[in-house]
Amino acid sequence: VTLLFLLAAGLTLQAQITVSTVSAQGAESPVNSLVEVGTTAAGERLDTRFRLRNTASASVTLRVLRAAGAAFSMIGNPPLPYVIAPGANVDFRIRFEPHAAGTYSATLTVNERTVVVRGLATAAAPVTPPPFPTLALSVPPTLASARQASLKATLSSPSPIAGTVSLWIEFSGQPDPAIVFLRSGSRTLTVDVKQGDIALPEIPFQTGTTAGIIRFRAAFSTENAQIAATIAPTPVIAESVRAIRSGSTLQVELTGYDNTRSASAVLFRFYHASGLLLPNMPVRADVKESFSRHFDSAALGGLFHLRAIFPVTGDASSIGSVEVETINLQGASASSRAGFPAQ
Amino acid sequence: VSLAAAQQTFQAPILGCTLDEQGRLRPLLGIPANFVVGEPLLEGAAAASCSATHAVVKTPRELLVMDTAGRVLHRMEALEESLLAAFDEQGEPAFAVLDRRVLRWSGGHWGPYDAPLEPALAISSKNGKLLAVVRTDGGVQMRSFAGDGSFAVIASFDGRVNRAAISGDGALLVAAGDSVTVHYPDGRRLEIPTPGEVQSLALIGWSLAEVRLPEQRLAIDLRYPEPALLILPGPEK
Repeated sequence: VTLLFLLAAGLTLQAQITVSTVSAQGAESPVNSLVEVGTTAAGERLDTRFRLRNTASASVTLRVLRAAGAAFSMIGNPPLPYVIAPGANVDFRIRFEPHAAGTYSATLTVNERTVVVRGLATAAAPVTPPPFPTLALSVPPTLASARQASLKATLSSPSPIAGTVSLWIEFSGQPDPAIVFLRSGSRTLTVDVKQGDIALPEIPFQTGTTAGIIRFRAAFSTENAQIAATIAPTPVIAESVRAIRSGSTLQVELTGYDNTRSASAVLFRFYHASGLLLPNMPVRADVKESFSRHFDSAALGGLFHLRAIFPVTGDASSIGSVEVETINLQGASASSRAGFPAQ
Repeated sequence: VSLAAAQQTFQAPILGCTLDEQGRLRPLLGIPANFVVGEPLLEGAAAASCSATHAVVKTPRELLVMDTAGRVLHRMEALEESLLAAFDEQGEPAFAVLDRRVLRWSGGHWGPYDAPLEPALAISSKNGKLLAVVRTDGGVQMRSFAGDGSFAVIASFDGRVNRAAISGDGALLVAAGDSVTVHYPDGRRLEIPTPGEVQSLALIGWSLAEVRLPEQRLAIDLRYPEPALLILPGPEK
């Protein structure tokens, strides 16, 4: 491309400025009358690097450099007038930034020369919001009866909204009012979630005294989660044994739970104050019916408080302690030995 | 020596009772870590203390003795504001302190008990004597009152104390700030941090104390050797 410039001295010289585009790798591509800058999506931007090089033996003054056209702008263009020494070059960029789909063009003017710059815009890519975080629950897969444990609830990413997580408990076993969230005292609970929260505060609950499966469910916005924990059946657990002496009678109080509600017999072993087992031990009580009636009427899960009164023939004060063994479908379990207070 | 066959009775295990925010007295059923708060036994209670078998309740005008089924066994006029109560090992009422008036339960009635008591933080009963925790200049003292006006100092503890309680087994609990310290009778001392400042501390069972925080009700299972911090179900229905 050859351009004619009129020098200030009044002489007409033939000066040459070449117009090229420059790739990201630095390769120059000479430009004729049309430059295709390429395709971009509406709302995006596409920059093209241009280079003006003086290929003549005399300096050339750049007096006009502009790009006119919707969606096109110039970046890094030199201040005018700008003198390009022989063999030197100057770079600038043309930014193509369309706001809607279509074909766009602009006129690049370099002194007296014009070049058409053209770009194509496709429809804007649909804006897809980040996926809503998923909700996950965790709890040990097996839990013992009569415990306070915690459910953990976490989101896969910070919550984009403030809201509430609804939680509820379903229990597969027989009714047990102790299986509750401790904050609410019931089987439902709502927990506030702030924007940006990931982990909720631990959610304490009770496991109750009934074997079965506790299933926790949670809902947050469109997300749902669930997890289950098994309460395994066990022999009867004696929480406490109390031995009371009152004249010629002995009273034994056993507090505990049978998470299978299948207790059938209780065996009492009394010991002398010396520690020796009394003869004719144990004293057996078949309690299947009375246990069953108690569980039905008390409606407290597998909890019980058994009071047994033994009339004593002979010197009741010689009896020092008692041990209680309870039998249910899971087997036998013995209490620790409880001492009768000295009279 | 021989034993005849047992007579057995079954019932729900009762730990004690608790007073809800509406002044309703509720039995606390179950075992530690498996609590069930029962239906209200009484409304309009100002203060209460319970064993597994009895409740001593202060209403605005009366002092009541109830069983844990909710039956009123005894009532007397009492216009004092505060109540502390202690029970014996069988769960029977033993002592009540109404402001500075000290009463002893005997034969189904309250009678005076000669114990020069400064405002007490907590009381208990041991071998028929009144145990009380009172403030001293540098901390608190546990004193045993014989009923004849005399007392003996059982133990002294230095340091700031806001609240106190004595378990049925004689463990002293003191609260200051965000912790409860348990002093066992054998000299062992254990500090239990709480997730908030202790607003009240009271015994709700033989070896179970209730700790109220601004937004939570906890229980300390005081059974030896390792006390456990538990959560009481709430809020009240």
